[in-house]
Amino acid sequence: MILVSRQSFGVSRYCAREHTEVALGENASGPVLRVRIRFDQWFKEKRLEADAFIDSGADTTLISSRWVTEQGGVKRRARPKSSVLDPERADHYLLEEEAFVEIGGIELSLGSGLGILPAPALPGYEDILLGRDFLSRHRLLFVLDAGEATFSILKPSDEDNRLRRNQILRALDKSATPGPPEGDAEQPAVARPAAR
Amino acid sequence: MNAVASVSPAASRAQDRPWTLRTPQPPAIRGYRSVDALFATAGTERYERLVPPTKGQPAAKAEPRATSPDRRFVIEKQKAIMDAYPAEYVVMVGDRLIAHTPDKKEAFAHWDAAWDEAGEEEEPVVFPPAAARTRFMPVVRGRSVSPKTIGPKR
Repeated sequence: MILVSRQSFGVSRYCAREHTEVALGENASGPVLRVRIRFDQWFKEKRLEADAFIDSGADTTLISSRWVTEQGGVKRRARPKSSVLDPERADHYLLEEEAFVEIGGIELSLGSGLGILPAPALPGYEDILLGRDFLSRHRLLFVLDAGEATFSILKPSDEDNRLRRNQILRALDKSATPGPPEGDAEQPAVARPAAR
Repeated sequence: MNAVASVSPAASRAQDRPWTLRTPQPPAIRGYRSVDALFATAGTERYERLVPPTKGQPAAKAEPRATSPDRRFVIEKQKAIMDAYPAEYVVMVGDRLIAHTPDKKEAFAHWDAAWDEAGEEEEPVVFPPAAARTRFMPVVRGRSVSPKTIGPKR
């Protein structure tokens, strides 16, 4: 299924509203996506709107504590079930319940153990960063076209979309010969990045 | 002012706990300096940016540090109790230990109940076991790179 199809770059609503000078910056726009987030227990069953930045450079998915505060929970509902790793950083939380994100009508797990961090960690003022852990967990194909400032996300979970993925990878493969049969789909078309 | 009072808090800590002077220093990161010379938890050192921020981006403001004596006392007590139960979840309200248990579900049941006793200024906190504390590392690349989240190079 195609979760996001050639969506234009943008900035988060919060950034546009509260930090206009940043939002107007030359490279401020990026793969920002309006999503709905659901937590296993916090605001049970309620889907909360958020602006997510698809961050292939981020190791882990992060949630902005500013966004958490904006949801208006008080006392024990002030934030999702979370623990504090270091008393010196009492505003840095580790999410201890499962969360889900809905993209293109499809709900995908974010897992647990995500960080909930204060605003300075999110210079683009997005509500959530969907990091490489999320992309890997769901084996998503993330295509960023800087030329036309758009991005797409494909979840190759059915045959049609596995074929789409393979076509894209074959087109990017320098050594590919024109017109390979569709049945060669299992052959990896790109080399894996070197281990870090 | 007596002699004891004239000793700076950092110097006093160093005298009380000379072993902290042998704490390994945080790794150097070009363009940043560590702001956690003492009491830094390995792998979570914080850095101040020495170079101007990228054009068009606001400089990240230093987050307020817990320096009041009361807050410092609470932090030190929380650390001591966490260290005393390294394999367990520790539930505290301020400097008061509510419960310690290896069972996460039980820990959060205590946390949930502790909200009824907590005052306006304090909120119950759950500290995970030591193994979980090192599992989450700050993000080091991408959108979230900032002086406050730069971690050790891997």
